[in-house]
Amino acid sequence: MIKLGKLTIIGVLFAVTTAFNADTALDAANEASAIVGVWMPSEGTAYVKIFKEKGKEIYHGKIVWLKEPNDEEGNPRKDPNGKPILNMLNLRDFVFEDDEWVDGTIYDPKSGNTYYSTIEMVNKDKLEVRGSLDPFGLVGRTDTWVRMKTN
Amino acid sequence: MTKSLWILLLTCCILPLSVLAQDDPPIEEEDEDSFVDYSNLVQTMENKAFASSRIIGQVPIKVFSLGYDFQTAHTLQPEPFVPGGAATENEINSAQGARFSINYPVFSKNYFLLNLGLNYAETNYSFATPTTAASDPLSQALDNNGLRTLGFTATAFKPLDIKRYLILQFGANLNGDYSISNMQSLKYTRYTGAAIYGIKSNDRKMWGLGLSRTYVGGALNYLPVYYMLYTAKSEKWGLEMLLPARFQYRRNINSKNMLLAGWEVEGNTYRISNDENRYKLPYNDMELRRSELRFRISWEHAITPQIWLSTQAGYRYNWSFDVDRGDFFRPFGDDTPFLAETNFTNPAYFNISINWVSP
Repeated sequence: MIKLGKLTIIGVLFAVTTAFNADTALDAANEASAIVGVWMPSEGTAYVKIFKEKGKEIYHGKIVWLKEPNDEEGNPRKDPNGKPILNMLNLRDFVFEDDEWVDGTIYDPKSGNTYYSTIEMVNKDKLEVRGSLDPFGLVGRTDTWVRMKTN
Repeated sequence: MTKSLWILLLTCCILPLSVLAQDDPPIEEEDEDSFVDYSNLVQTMENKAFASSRIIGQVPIKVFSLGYDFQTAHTLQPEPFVPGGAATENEINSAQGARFSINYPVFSKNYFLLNLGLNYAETNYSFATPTTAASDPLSQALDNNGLRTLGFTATAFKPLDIKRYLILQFGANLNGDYSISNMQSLKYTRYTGAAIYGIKSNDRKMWGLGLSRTYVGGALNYLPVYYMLYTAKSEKWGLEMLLPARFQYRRNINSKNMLLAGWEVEGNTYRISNDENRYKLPYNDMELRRSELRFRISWEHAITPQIWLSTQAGYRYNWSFDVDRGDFFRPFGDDTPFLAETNFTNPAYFNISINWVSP
């Protein structure tokens, strides 16, 4: 029978715990970054690229494609504040908490309004993006976004 | 409890300001990818597009509204309720009252939207000459308690695809000369409903046709309805209507101000209670068929993006203020005699409300 000293047992437990914690942290990071990619809101008129901010655990999104990038006069489409919609940052400051991306805001370039927002991942290719008037998400609307991939 | 509710409400109203005030500093991406031809991407799964329930530029939807309505002096000319009964002309100095409504989106996804609402409105009549037992029953009822409406609404918006949609609406209202401390029995609840099938042509136009069960003319009726929201290409003006009940021309001055001109028909049937035989009449099933046509100009102003002030001024034209026995279907042109017909002269009216809106 093999006899283990106290120090050996502590060492093994430490190694297992560290490995477990490292795995958990890695899983959490992977889970959080699962949102990164290009997504299409249900209207199908735009794509939004969600990305992680360099050096931070914060996620944002920008409009990278428009079905109709120009208006009737051939000028780039703009929001009510006169800013070009293409490459506009319309999702801001999301952090990953309890399987959701929370504490963010979403900007609607059609109305020029910004709403509180949370994002839930239904599966790896489907998001439910909620914009709300209040920080508690009580009065709002949820839209379904799907992931886009290279053809 | 009330204090907590106010703090919650204020938090909801004020916090969005800080959200809107933010600027857009540039943000560096963790993994800046090389060139991607976004036009060459395909969906990983189907995402059916649905028509939304709104158009660009429309008047913001009022989620919570607290208001006050005031009609200037006018004359009431009643008819006796029984042969030889009392019916004295009387001057009404003012008819006024508070109004409150909630229209809350309990389920709001792109494929289905359900709003539940509560509304309360009262009209208190101030008579120049106080009514007595010798006055007609209607004048006494108006003078004693005024009229009240307490209602529940459910509105469902079901887009069928990117163009077509259905709207279903249900309402249950308790209307009468009751007071809050002496509520009317729920058996006098009156039910309304509407079903509309519509087309959303683009982000600036949606319209629909349907049928409604309504008391908008005072008595129960079944009417076809035409629904339309429209904003011109210039986004400077538009039309919003639910005919025959409501029509308004909208002028979008800027993102914080809108001017509206049009009309609205407000109507309901109100139970006039003869409990304990207070009016010494041999029946207790009187229904006041009240309907008024309001020609008006409104100014909608954003105090903050979520808080809008609405002020209205206009002319209130009396369509019906007659009393029937019982609640029954009375189509336009029906010549069933009323128990008592009442003439009202037509005053100016004003309405002011503060609203928490969904822009």
